[in-house]
Amino acid sequence: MRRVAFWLLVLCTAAATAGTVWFAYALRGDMVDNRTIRLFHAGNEAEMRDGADPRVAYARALFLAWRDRVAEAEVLAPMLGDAPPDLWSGFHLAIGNARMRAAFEFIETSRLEEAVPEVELAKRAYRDALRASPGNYDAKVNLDLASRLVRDMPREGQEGSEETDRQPRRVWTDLPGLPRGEP
Amino acid sequence: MKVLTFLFLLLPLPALAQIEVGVENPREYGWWLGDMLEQRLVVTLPEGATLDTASLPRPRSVTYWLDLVEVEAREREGEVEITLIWQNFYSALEPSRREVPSSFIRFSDGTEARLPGFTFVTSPIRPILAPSTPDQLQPDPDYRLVSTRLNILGFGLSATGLMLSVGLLAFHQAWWPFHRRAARPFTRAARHIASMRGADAGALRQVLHRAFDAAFGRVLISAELGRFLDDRPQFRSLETRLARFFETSNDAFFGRGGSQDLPGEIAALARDLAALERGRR
Amino acid sequence: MLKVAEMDWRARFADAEAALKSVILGQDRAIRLILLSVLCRGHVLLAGDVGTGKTTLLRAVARVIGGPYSRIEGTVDLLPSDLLYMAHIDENGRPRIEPGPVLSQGPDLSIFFFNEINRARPQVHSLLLRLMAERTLTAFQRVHHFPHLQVFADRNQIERDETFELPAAARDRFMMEIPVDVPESRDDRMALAFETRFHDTDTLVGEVPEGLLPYDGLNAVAAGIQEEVHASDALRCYVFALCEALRDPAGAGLEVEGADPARLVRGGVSPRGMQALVRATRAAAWAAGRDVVLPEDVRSVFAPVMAHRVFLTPAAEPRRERLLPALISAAFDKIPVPAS
Repeated sequence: MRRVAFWLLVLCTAAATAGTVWFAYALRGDMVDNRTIRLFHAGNEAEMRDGADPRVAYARALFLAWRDRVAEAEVLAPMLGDAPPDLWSGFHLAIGNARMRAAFEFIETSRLEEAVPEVELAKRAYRDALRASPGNYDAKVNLDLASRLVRDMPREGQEGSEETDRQPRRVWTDLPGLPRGEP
Repeated sequence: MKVLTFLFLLLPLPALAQIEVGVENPREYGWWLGDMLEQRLVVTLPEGATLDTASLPRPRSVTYWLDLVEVEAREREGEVEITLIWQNFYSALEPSRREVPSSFIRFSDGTEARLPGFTFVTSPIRPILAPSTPDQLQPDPDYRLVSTRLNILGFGLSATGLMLSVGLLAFHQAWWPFHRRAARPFTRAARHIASMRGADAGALRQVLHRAFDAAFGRVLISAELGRFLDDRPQFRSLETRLARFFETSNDAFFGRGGSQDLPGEIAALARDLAALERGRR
Repeated sequence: MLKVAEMDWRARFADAEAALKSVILGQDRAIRLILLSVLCRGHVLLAGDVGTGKTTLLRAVARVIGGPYSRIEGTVDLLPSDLLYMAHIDENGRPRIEPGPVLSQGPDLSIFFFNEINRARPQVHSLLLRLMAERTLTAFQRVHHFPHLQVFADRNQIERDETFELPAAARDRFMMEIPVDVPESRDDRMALAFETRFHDTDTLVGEVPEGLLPYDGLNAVAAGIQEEVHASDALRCYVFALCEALRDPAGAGLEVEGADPARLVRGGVSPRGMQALVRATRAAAWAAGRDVVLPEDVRSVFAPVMAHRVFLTPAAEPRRERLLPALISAAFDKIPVPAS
């Protein structure tokens, strides 16, 4: 018993030391990550460390998407890895939004044939956002908006035909940039 | 579709008759785009047959507005429970009834069963006249900070544990600040003896004798060594050396100036006693 | 010359102890202490209940020593002269004075047993003082010497009526007070009660070989022991520290449960007491087969030699039975040995 006490205490001390070091290292990593995230938030380019939290990649994706560097943002997807679904959802939402901004940009300059694929890509991104998190209302709203810009087409021979009649008429009903009949 | 129905009619009737499909459909109204709909079906298995899992519908994009997200089949005694999770992506301009198609599954004996579809009403999420302009776009999501709470908690707990266990260890081993702990007389004596460089054996002996007194709770003389060992059996492994120590002590202090052992031996005995006292051996 | 003889004496001592133990059951410690007092030529006060075998023990010891033996019973009306003279009417009808119990055995008297000494008056005690201290008496107008005399006295502890407390001076002259209690072991008590061997004291004492420790050689042996057995400086320090602690318990830092150590002891640890202690420790070491005194020897004789000399304060005296052993054991526990 008296010998057990000594070795038990040694073991406890070793375990507590390991735990403390491990948590201290993790905490330091968290702080570095949060600094990086704040830099991205403040609009600065920053380096991501290896093994960073997915939220850093997420922050970088938001940073890039807001600056219309969608391609670079999309490349970050693998770095999100096993991030929680709402993070994935946000990631796709940001990319969808970036696509939508690009589409609106094209619409402003009346380059509709270039706007349509952007909207399609945005819709795909919003769907991904909803797949990751069905309760993401921002993604729902934006997908609805995008869908009204460019209606979904039923694939050949797949669905009833009554909609296909209606859809082309509706697609551009309230496209921005077009006259809306206001005085 | 029509071809399928035609084939369906050609199937032998008894094969269909024995298969029952119980359905638990999602509610019929109140769905938005992006919502998940869960359909549960309980299919009785034909006698001695099992479900051919390859015949289950694959998760896929069924139509442009409908995804089959997840298919799960759990076979039970005589029946199989199938859960289908669908995701609706229909962007409705007005409330609209949508129809989810049915599908077929096959069993190991070749019979088939139809998993019936269902209908649901999906509603627009925005007013029909809402403009589709950039300002209507919901903004980008917020940046998320890494939550440090768990790591802070873990760090706090493990650091507390570390301090506690180091403190207990120091207390147990009579390290600073417990180096004067009364319950560790041999440890103190061993340190004291180690610090008494060049002292003669007699002085070292006295230090160790006082440690014995403290450990025994009263003054220990050679005649009571047996009782001491009964009290503190952990020192019994040193019995012969202790007996020799007391014998030599008697000689040195009460004899006619007889044998004197080396100071190193006393120091070694003190170290061994200290190690036993602190449970290191 | 003495050394050779001493070896012989050790064997005799062991024989005597064994013989006494076989006859007196359950009194090993009392036997050892009495024999030590014999080796020190010191007088002994026996304390114990009635019927514990004090008289039997003394008779057996007297037989071991050999030599003339005499006894007297202490009573309230006992006068000092009753020890010396015996007045009676002879066959011719004339009053005659003859030597009393002390004188009747002549100068070879080796053991004088005073039964129930606390029943005798202080006058008798004072007569005894000279006999014990100087081993001489003045009677019939001349001085009688008793070179081999050892006085044993017995104190009845049950009754308090018609008893006289021994004066301090008388107590101090007894080397030891030896407790003779009922044997601790159940078997011994059963044997004493049921075995017929123990019923007849005369035959029982007769079993002891006579003169194992011849009385006329004891003085020389005692002197030899005191000469031969070595007491080192460290041991002297220990003895001195123990006695000091007994005299001033508070100063030595002793703690006695239920008493204030500063107001416990009134006095009584005399130089004569320390002298007796040293003699007894040397004898104990010799009896244990050693030629040096060890702390355990001091501890073995400390209580019987010192306890009856200590005077407690009036407040503590009624609880003497409990406080004094506690005080002594506290001193053993506290006084370090070996120490500088």
